[in-house]
Amino acid sequence: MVNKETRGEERRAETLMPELILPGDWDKGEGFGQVRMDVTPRIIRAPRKGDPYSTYVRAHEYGHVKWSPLSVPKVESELLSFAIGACEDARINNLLLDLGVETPVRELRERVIRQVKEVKRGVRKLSRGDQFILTSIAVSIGAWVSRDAQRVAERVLEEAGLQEEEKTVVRDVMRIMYNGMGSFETTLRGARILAALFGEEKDEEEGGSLRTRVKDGGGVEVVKEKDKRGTADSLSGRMTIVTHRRELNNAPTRRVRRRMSDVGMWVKRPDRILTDGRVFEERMRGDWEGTILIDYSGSMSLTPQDLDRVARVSGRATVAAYSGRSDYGELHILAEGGRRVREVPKSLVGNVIDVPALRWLVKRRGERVWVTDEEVTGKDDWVYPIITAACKGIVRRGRVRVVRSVEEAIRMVEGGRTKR
Amino acid sequence: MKRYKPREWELWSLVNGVTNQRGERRFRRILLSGARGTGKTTAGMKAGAVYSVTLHEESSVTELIGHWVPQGQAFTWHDGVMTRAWKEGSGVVINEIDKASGSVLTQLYAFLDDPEVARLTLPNGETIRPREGFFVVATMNGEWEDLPLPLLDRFDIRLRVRAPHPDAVEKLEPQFRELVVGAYSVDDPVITYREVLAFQQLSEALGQSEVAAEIVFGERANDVLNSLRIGQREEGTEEGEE
Repeated sequence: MVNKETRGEERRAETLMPELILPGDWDKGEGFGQVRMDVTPRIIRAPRKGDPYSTYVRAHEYGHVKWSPLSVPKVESELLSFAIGACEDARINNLLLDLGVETPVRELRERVIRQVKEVKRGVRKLSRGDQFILTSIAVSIGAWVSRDAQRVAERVLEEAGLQEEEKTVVRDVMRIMYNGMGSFETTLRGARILAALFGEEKDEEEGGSLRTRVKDGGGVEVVKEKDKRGTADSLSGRMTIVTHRRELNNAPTRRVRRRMSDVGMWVKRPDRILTDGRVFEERMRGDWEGTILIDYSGSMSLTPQDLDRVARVSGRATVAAYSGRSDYGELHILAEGGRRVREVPKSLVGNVIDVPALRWLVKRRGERVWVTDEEVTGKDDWVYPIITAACKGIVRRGRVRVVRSVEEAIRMVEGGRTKR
Repeated sequence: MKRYKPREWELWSLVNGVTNQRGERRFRRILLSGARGTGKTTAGMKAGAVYSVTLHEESSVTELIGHWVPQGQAFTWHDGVMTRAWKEGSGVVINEIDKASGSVLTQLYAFLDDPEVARLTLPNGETIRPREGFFVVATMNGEWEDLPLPLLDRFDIRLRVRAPHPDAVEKLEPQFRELVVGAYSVDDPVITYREVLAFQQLSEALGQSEVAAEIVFGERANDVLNSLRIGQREEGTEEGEE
C-alpha cells in the first residue's frame, strides 16, 4: 500500500546520514546547510537532493560533524562570530578537497553570484558591512589550491570592491586556512585577521545596513523590505520538510475486506464448489490510501492532540501538518507507512507556506486531502490575493479534496476509500 | 574502535543457555524487536527453530491453525504452521508479528498461552496441546509496546535489539564496522548491515569502491562514500603552514 512516490521520498530522506560520522540521535531536516552538535538531539539541516551541489553541501556538513568543535566558542563581536563561521567553512572545504571531495565549481559559482546580487541589490558603493559579508563569502569557499574555486573567490572579492592591500590580507587568510586546515585554532586565527580588517567599521556594520544582518551562530541573512508584488512562490515563505522519528501506528483503520478463496476455515459459499471452488471466505483489513495535509495555523484552533488523533487512525496513509512564521515554515510528516510520530510538534501559529505545502501535496500519489479553513497567507502571514488564487488553482488542478475539520478527515479515513 | 559487544546479544546468549532439568530450553516464548538487518530471524533459526512464518496485514489465521482443502466431494484438513509446531514440539520463528491483523494476533494468544494450560480445539474437532520442545521466537521492527498487552504479556522474554549481532559485524573490515555501528545508533538505520556487507564484498571483487557503492547504495552512494572518507580522516597536520 505504500506507493512508489512515498518510497522515493523515504529514500531521499535517507540521504542525510550524519550518524555514520557521529553515532546517536539526530534531528534531520531540509535546509541550506547547518549543523548543531551542542544540543540533544543534534541538529542537521541540508538539501536532500541528489545533484552534485546538494551532495557536496551534505558532505560539507558531515565535515563539520567530524572536524568542527561541538560548540563554537562564544565571542562578543558578531563580526568575529561571522568571520569564524566563514573561516571554518573554508577549513572544512579544504579538508574535503584533501580527501578528494571536490567542490562543484559551476554550481558554486551560480550560487555565489546569486548571493552577491542579493547583497548588492544594484547598489554601486557598498557599505562596509556588505563588503565584509562578500569577503566572508569569498573566504568561505576555501579550496585555495583549486584554480576554479580560486577564480570564483577572486570574482567575489572584485564585487566586494576592496582596496588592493585589503585583498592581499584576505588572500593571506585564505592561504592560512588552506595550510593550517588541521585545527580549529587556524580558524580562530584567520577569523581574527578578517574581523580586524573590518573591525573599525563595526558600528556602521551593526546599525547602518538594514538589508543584511548576521544570524545567530553564523551565516548571513538578507532582510528584504515588504513588497506585495511578486509571484505566489516568491511571496510564500521558505518551507522545511521535517521528518521525525516515527513509532509504529498501533491504531490503524480496521476496515474489513472480504475475499473468496478455495482454501480456508469458514465455508461461506458452498454453492461455488460446483463452479470455481472458492467456497471459503477470507477477511482482510484494508486501509485508506492517500495523503492528508493539515493547515496547522492558529486560525484552525487545532491542538497537538487533534493532530495525533488523525495520525492514530491514518493506517498506512501519510499525514502532514504545516504552519509558519515570518518568512519560513515547517511541514511535519506526522504519519507515514503505518508509523506515526511520538510527539506532535507545536504550531508556528501562522500559515505562510500554504503554496509550497500544497505543491508538496499534489505531488503525492493516491487521494489528497487538505484540512483547512482556506485562510491562506504568505510571508509575514499576510493575505496576498495572488496566493489565495494560486491555492485555489493548485487544489483544482491537483484534485485535492478540501475538508474543514479533522473530524471530517477522520471519518473519511475510517470509512475507507472516498468518492470524489 | 573499542570492542563491539552489544549488551542485548549478551543477554540473548544468557537466555538461550537457561535450561530445565531435562536439558531443554527454559524460556519458550521470546520476542525480539529492533531495526532490520540486526539478525533477529537468524538468531531464532540458530536457536533451533524448524518453522518460520512471516505475518502481514493480509495473513489469515488459517496459516497458523490450518485449513480445509476440497478433495473431490470431501474436505481434508491441513495443519497450519503453529499447529504442526505444537504437535511436533518444534520451534517457530514468527517474523513481523506486529504486522499481523487483529484476528491473527488474537489467535496467537492461544498459541502462546502458558504451555501447562494451553489447549486448542481445531475446526476438525481435534484438541491439541504443545509438546515439549515447542518454542517461539517472534520478531518485529517496531516497538513491542504496540502489540496488544495480553499478547505481549505472554512472552517470557522481550529483548530490544538495536545493534547487529557481533558475529556478523566481525565479518566486516574495521572501517565498515564503524559505518554499521553509526548506522544502528538510531532506530531507523539509513544503511543496513546487509548493504554494508554486500558493499564490502563487491568492493573486494570489483576493486572499485565507487562502482560497488553505486550498485549497493544507489542514490545514497555518494553520501556513504563521503561519510566513509570523512569518518576515517582525522584532522590534518599543521605541516606547511605558512
